[in-house]
Amino acid sequence: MGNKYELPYLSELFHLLQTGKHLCHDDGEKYWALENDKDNYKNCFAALGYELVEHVKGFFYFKQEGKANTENTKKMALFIFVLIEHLDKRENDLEAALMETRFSFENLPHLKSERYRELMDEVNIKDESGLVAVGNTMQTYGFATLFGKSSFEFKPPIYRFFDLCASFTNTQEVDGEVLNERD
Amino acid sequence: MALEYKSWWRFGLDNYLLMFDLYHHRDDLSEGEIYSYIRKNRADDSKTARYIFGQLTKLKFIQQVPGSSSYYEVMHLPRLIVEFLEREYRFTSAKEIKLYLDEIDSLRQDLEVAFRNGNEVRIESYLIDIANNIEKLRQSSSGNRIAITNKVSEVKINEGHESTAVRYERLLDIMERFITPIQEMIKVDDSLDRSLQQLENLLQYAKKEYVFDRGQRDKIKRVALHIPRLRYDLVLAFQESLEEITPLLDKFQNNRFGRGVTKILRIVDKEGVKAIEDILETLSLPTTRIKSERMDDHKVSEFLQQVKNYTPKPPPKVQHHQEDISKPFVFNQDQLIFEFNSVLPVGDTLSWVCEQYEGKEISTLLEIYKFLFDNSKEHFFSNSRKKYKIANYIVSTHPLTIKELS
Repeated sequence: MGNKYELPYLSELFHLLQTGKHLCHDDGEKYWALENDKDNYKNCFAALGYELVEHVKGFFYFKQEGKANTENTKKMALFIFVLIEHLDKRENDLEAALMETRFSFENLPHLKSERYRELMDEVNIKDESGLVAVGNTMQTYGFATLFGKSSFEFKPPIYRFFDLCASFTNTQEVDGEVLNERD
Repeated sequence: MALEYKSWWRFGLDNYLLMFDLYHHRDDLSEGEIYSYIRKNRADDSKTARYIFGQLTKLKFIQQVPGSSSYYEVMHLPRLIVEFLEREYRFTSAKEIKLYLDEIDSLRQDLEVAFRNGNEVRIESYLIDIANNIEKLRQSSSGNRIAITNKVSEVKINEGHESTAVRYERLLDIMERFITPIQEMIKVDDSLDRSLQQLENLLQYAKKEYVFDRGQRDKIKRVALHIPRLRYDLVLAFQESLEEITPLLDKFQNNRFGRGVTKILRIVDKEGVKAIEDILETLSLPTTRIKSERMDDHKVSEFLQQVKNYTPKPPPKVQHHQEDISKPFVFNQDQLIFEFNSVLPVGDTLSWVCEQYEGKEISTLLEIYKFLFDNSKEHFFSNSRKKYKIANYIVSTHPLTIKELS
């Protein structure tokens, strides 16, 4: 009988997951290796001190407490939140709009209104090249696929940010906050 | 001058949008403001603004504010008509419905007295007022339903590009102010049901009392017929309003990340991106490049710097095959207990140990001494201290006497 930790792509997967990569079906054989033998991968990574998490939307990542890269996270978060809000105001099916649209950087709303420009300024994004840089970061983490420097599509791991919004709704539900729109 | 009704209605019809604008103007109207509304709403270019202004005053749509020659107000009749038209599609709160009900209750009590006194003039006038109030209540309820439907459509179409969070709040506000309280009110045995039931009972009684007075009986019957229609319309309006609003409200309720994102961005608007660091912390996204761990403990870091170029000596070779390797001494506990028992009581236990195991390491001697102490059942220490010379060490302690082992 072979060693149960003789798993395909083990070292490669460990390196990718350790550096924050989220793996979904778009990652092909590496994702399917994890998917087909998830328990053994989980046990193996647990022995090394890492928790492999499988999300209900079909992707894997390492839960790494206290290792937040706050600058990148802040940029990506504000970028994604602004896009969600913009689409939420215009689209009937927000989730479909987010997951089924190829977004062109030049048409993004982030630098087109004063409020969004101010929000982008908070994370030092001042022009389109700043937006493309966030796109690159998202691609590195597995949240998006870039098509040159012109456009991108979200991948299932983006649900980590959506979950964040949903959990925030839950905690703030009883606030009774008065909302005013400013775009 | 008597009002020319035909001209009045025709002018009102031609200029009804102007009427709405004048009615909704918050303060007294200046001439300039009236001219501005006239130009905005003028349907017929053949009529000058000055002519329309003249007709407004001539036909008594507006009049000068008492004590002021330059300000005008909308007169009572056009005001009533606009209010009536607007009731068709404006929200009616439970409070307003309660006011109508209170009025109906009060009129019912007056009607009861009039019946008792046989005052037919008052009976007739109270019946008319009750019928009017019932009709107002019915129209308000129907208008409420239309207003809710319009608002839901408006929220659904979302021409103003509002976020889910804001639209959700709008619907929740309608639900909480105009639907839920009415639901409470129309429950069986609640205020509305009770008021209408009391009125119905009175009218049933009156119909019997006036069974031979056909004219009066028909008037009573006509009012009585309004009640089931009002009940039915109120319940129907409520149900339709609820059906209209619920699916959209549920949809917004379920769009948790749409609603959440607006709230998060609202916080960033007010307090900056730092305010959401705690929220983002839960993502725990590491850096995408592996770096060597930085040394936080500077002392350890310095030490490691010092030993950086250290080359260890080769370890001593172990001579496994040589027979003269000295074996470590291990005392036999059973034998020790046997020997110690045979000499009990022992007045100075450490002296005894040193004599019995002479030449052994001090650590071994103290180990044996501790073993005997731990296993003693009856023992005591002498008051004075004593020094013991063991190899190159001087040990100072109170001599231990052991009488019995456990």
